[in-house]
Amino acid sequence: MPKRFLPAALLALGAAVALSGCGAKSGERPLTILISVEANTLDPHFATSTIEWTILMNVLEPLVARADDMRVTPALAERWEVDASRKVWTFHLRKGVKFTNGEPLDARAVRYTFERMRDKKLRPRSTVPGRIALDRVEEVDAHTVRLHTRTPIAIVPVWLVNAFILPPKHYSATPPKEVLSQPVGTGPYKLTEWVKDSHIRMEANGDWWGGKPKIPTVVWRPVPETSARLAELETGGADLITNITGDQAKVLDGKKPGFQSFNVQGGRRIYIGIRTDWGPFGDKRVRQAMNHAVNFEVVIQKFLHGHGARMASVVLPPNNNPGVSSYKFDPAKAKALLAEAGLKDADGDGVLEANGRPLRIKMDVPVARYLQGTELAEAAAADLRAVGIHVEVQPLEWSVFLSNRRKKTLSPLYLHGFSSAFNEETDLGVLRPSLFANLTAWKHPQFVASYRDLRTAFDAETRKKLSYGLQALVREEAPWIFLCYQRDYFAASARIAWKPRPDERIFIPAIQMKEAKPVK
Amino acid sequence: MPMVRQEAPALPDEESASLGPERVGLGQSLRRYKTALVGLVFLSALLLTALGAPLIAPHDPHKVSVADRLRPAAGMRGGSRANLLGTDSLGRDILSRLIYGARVSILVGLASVVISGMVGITLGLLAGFFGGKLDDLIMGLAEVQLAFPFILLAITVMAVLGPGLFNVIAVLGVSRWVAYGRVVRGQVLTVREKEFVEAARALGYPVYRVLLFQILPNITSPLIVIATFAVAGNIISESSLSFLGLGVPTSTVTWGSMLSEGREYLRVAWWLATFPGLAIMLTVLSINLIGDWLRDFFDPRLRDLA
Repeated sequence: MPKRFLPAALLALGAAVALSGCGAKSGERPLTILISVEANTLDPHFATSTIEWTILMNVLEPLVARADDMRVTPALAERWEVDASRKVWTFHLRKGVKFTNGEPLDARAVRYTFERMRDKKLRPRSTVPGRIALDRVEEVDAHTVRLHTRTPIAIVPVWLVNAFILPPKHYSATPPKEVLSQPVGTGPYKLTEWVKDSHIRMEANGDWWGGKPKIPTVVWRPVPETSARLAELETGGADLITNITGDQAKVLDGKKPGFQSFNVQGGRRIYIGIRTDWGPFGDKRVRQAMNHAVNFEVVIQKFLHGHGARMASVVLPPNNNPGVSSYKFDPAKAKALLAEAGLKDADGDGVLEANGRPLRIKMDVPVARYLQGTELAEAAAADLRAVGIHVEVQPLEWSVFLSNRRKKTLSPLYLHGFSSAFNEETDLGVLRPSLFANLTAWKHPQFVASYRDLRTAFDAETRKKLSYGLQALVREEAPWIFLCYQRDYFAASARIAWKPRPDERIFIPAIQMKEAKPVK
Repeated sequence: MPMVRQEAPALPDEESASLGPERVGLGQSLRRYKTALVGLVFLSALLLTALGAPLIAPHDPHKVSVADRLRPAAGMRGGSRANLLGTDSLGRDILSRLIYGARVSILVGLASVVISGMVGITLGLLAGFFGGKLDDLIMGLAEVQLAFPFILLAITVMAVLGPGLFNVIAVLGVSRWVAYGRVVRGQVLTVREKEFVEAARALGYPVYRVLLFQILPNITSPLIVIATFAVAGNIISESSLSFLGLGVPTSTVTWGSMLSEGREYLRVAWWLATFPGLAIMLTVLSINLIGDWLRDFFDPRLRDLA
């Protein structure tokens, strides 16, 4: 019996090593990440989508980056300061840094980068020069550079996290159509291959100033179907997959040994916009009532499996005002507020009337745009119907939704999500009346005034005071039905250790490869 | 359908054949075609269910109950008798939604067949009876229509008109007339030379009367068969359009949209897509079984005359 057992045991061991795919040679198989969408361009001055920024942040680096906790942190600039006029920002560059094509990182490269961003012939899509009201870039010496802004802007560093610094020779010598697939930077990885709709391959940059990355090769592959991504993970073809649902993560955690799921509170704020220019929605009490009518506790339990909390106002942690609490589910209070606002159900059909007209409205929701967006809208609509506001969910194709948003013809309620730059000013900015994507038509004089003050306040204490006041005002005035921060779910094989970031981006050096254990 | 053919008795002898084609009634024939009988029973049950949906459905199909979401079918772990076939991603009762969804499927299937039948029969009668340029024009139109992929046409039209029950019916109705048109035209070509048509014309009957009361009654058998299969085809097309999000808006429950919603949950909750899928399959199968039988019944070569 033992004789027979031995080959079987060896076979099993071999299979275990083969299945776990690594053992001591964990470096041999590349780390494979499945993403849900393909990048359109890897020219940082034309990039717009999260996946493009994700790929780029592993190859290129900005002066100032966002750390894992979303606070700004030094990257290619070791330190920076602003002068007394509050319009001149001086950045001191890290010394001895080279681009992977051999060009040195110096003030000239920085100046070239910012000038390329607003090159009239190239017509890039970068919003950075506009955001920081860039006047000119001054090379002080090889490792010192000054950005002159036309007006005082307090959050210049926040806007710089997507301003990746480029090597001038490579980007000026290569035609724009080719350079979009050949990004070169100072980052931890070098892009070695991009086969469109197939994969992106990157190799570790041994000369990275942050130290040679531990994972030598990374492959990114776009796989649009969620179930296909999951299937590939389960059959060992991938190590990390993005964009799964909480339901799928729960199944994976409960049943599948050898796999794990990650989730993190993302930066996207999911809310139901209230068009305050529509009939009774101009009344604050009606808007508050709708917030009290929505039972979000059960949504968090059942859709998000208990992760996260209801959004209280518009600003994300760590900049949120802890004194502002979220609306509580209270249908009785909702009904009382509606009655106080003069809405009554005179004909007894279960639908309230305003000035004799029944409150029958639609709620627009873009299809397949936000994680479980249609379901969130349906759940909220059912709660609103329960207090007498007859809401019918109308799913719209994203392109139709966008066009209606532009024409300002969305329904009185619309489910939408704003991403975040993880700063109180930009977080609050989504409610400024001039923003094209803000259809609430909410123009509160105090908001407009305080927000203007916030934009020019450089002192941290003043900014905090203004921001906290604005957050409380937004909560009280309720131009939105506050829902949640989108939860981002990822699934991975057991061979990696990682903590996801709230900004949906994946920074490879933050991923650890574990020593392989035999499969149980 | 070789299986069905085997069940049909051998061809009759000449004597009984001369007695005329109507000796065997539908009911008698049906008793021999057991599969068609099964289909008919299923379809009748479905029709009654659809008509009596508010009485039969255990729950309001739109009642959202997030707390009960993704509950499995009764008998499975975590299932409950309150929701026999489980609940969907918003906690709505799947059985009740299936029952209400049957209404849409049947309505779309029948209504679109009526529309395409009317359009196709009218055009086919005109083309066959008058011939010449009108015939060329109508048949040319039919060729164009046939060359155009249906799903592309449907998607385009739905994108322009917007989702809606009546838009779906209109699209299916208008785009499926060719089958009727061509068959009717062919039949008219043979019938219009018959003596009774000539007699009617000689008596000075107006054209519409000749077409509707002399010709049409003599060519109905193949139309019934086409219409039966078309009902099944249209139910599937409606489901496909709803599946693509281009059919009936979500405020109306349809099997296609249930299937579409369930697809995202296949790995998590299989019952969401499985039950509407089964409903579509069984309904279409039933109709096709009936269609097979009708085709054999109306085909003189296969007809049981004994």
